[in-house]
Amino acid sequence: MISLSFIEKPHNKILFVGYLIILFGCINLIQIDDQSIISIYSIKQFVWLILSIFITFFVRNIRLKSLKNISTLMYLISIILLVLVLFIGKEISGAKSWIKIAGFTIQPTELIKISYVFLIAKLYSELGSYSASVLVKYVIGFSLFLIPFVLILLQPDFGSAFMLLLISMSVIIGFSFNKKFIISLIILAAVFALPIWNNYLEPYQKQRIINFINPENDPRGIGYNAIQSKISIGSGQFLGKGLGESSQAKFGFLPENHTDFAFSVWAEQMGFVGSLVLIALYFFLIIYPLSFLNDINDPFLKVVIFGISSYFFFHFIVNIFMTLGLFPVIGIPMILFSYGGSSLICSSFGFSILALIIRNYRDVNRLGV
Amino acid sequence: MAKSIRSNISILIVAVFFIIALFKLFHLQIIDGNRYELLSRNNFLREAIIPSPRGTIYDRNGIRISYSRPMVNLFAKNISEDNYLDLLKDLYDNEIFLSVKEKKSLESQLKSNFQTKRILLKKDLSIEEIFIIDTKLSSNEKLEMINDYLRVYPYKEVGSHLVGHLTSNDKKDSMYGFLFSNRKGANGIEKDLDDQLTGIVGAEYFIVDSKGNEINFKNTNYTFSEIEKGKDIHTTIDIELQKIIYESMKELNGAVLVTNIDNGEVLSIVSKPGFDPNLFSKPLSNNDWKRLKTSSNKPFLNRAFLVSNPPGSIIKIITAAAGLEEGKITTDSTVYCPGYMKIGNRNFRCWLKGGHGNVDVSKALVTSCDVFFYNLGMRLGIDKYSQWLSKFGIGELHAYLPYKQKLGTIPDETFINKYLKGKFYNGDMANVAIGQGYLTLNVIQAHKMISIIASDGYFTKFRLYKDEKIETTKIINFKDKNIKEIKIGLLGVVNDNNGTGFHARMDGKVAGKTGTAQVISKDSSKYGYGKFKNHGWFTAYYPFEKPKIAITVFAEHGDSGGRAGGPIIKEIISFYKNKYMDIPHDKP
Repeated sequence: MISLSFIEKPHNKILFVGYLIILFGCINLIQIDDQSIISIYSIKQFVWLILSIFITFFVRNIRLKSLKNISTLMYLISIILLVLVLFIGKEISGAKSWIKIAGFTIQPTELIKISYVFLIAKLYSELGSYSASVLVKYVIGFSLFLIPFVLILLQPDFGSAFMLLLISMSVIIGFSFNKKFIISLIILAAVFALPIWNNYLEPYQKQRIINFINPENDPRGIGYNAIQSKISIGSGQFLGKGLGESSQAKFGFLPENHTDFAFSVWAEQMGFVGSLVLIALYFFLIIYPLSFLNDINDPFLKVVIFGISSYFFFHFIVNIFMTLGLFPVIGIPMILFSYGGSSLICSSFGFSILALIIRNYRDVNRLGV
Repeated sequence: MAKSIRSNISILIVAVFFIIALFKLFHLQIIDGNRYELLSRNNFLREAIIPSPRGTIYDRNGIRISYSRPMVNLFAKNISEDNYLDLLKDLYDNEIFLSVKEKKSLESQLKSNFQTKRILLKKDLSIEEIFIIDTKLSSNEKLEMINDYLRVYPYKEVGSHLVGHLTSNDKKDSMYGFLFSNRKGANGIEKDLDDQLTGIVGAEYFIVDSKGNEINFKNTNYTFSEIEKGKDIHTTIDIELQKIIYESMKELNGAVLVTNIDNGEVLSIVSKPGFDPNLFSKPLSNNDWKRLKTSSNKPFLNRAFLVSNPPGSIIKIITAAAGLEEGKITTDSTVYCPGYMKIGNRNFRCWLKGGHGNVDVSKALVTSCDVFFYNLGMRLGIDKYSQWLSKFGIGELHAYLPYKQKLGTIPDETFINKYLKGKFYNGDMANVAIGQGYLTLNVIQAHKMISIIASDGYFTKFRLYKDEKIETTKIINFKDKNIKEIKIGLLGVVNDNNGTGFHARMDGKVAGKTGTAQVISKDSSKYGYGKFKNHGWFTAYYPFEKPKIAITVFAEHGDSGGRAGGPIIKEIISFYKNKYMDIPHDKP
């Protein structure tokens, strides 16, 4: 069978799972409102799905070496866009996160997360993986992180900044582990947390964190989203209400149901069983590339695999924790699954790269990048 | 960091977080799933009541005493202060007019913060209006006609205390506000059987969005639950008799009880004046309420149960029965009545100045000779006498009847110790023995007394409902001779030449006893009509042989029980004879 032999190849497994998640995302959005037969979000997302297939084919033909070469440029473009967005960005719900270029609305914050991984991978690999002093790695890692981090906070987009923080920290710690560093980092965080809380967080962000502790206190206030999300998920029960039967989304009880709370809608429609399937797909998508870490010799590819996996992991886990009420609502959509063009293009680019590396790492092991 | 550790640790960390998520997911969807499912349903479903009619209350012959009439109300949906005038114009163009009052109410509803989802336009549409709305205005989606039910009492004030009336229910429907059919029984039968009479309301579910706006959504299972009419109640009441009594009382106020002696069925309980219970089927206007509440003749007072008065001479039945049964006198014993009796150093007069001469017990009953009963009462003594009063049910509540009752007083040991410092003189005893002084009773107690006599010592519990079971108990084990003598006396009261109850004389078969309760209390000045006149009692049964019905008349300020009660008793008996006893000759 053609399809089976297609899936048997490791890199194709990643592509298959990645696109299955995107497809589920489209299906999930089919009847999310009561206005039309097929929701406009579902159709748009399907168009993005087609586009991301082109990206996969494009990535297929990239040489891993050139990937390393463009990483600095990618990072610089991302930084320029992040600066631009502060001036010409479109303000949506209080944050200037969107930029319009040639008719497309793009979100530079999505691009920087991937670019950061590439650039730090390049620099770490050039430092000579394990010989360079840990301190140099930290300085490089932090400076590359801090510039976009501050720019994102200026938008302000607390959620994306937080995601960048998680990804960069995991990469820095993952590839330059040091006990002293971890401890001093914790102390540093503790020292800075209070001033940041007092001066930098928007009132609504503080509210979100406060209300996270007990959302049921205030059903119509800021904790409303979290409660409605839990109602959506819980009411799906074992088998779900069926496709197009998410009353929570249809009648407007669940806000942001096509983005931040897309998983809640899925859980309501498909129940525990459907949620389990979706979670299993993500688990595979994250774990499977990580299992190749030991087999890959090239440090650049190692960092990229690790970085992109953590990119998927943190996006997924923060979103699902958010929808389950385990984490404050910070406006992070479920990667691949939620509606959103920029995010979908970047994340499909991400797993296409993973597939590319897993397809080619043996050659690289022999020949070098 | 060693080669393999990085991969393993990162996989481990990922796995831990995934497991946490799975646990939480399991908790939400499987353990708490039902709760959240309920929450999600309540989130988008709004319930509206579909009114159900109350059960009908029938009289013993199937005549409706109280029923619920369907009415159609016109509601408007999705209107606001900005667009309601267009709707009114549309109605006006189709000749549906709103009164000034209705317009005012509409405007105040629109301004209210506690708006219902539907705004009431017009109550109780006429057939023509319903037709217009159904045809010409059917395309107007803002209009909605809803059934409601209005409680109707066709006999109005005639049965007001007996049947009861409705009162408001605090339950406000979120969709339609206060519905007439939602009202509950306030007293009488309506309250007693409220649970059975109340129907099961249906429910219609509307799907709303998070802002509470209604959504048209076709493929839904949540349409409505069926309504069920309340249970019909078949009473023992003869509403026509009730009406005859009410009318025959003319300008008199008071109470009349008619029951079936054999089975305890209540045929009529009239308390006059009544009030129109229809007024309470909808919210009562302030004016009506004030008028009824301040009315000097107290229309809300149920005179059959809530008024206790001295029994006057009707109590002589018990005095006679106690004397005979206790062996203080025999049927042959006589007392000489010179028109007065000296007790201590006071003269107690007989009502007949010249005296009755020699009287035995039956003659004493016929002529209502006071001296005979002064004498007998003192011979019995208050201890014995109060025991006999209790035996006959004086001072006892008929708690099984759904009416508030006033207990009345028996001058028994407790009473004497409490209020009379333990002293009860012969004069007091003599007064009580003729039904004056410290003894008071209500009409139902007097009625129980005559029922016991009529059925030779048996008593059958009074019944209001046909399906209630008959409970007969032997109260007093009369010697045949004694009860016969008393009954002959009671027959004489009505039929002998010198009987006090001659006003009720008709076919020689009416037996009874009259009484007059002296009005001495200052309270009497409150009554507008005949305020210093005495209250009249007449308690009777019919026919003398194999009695069928017991009748008790209490005529407030009726002066004389015989004169006030006699004609009423005659009316009752002739009606009863016609309806239930005479074999119809004109039918083949």
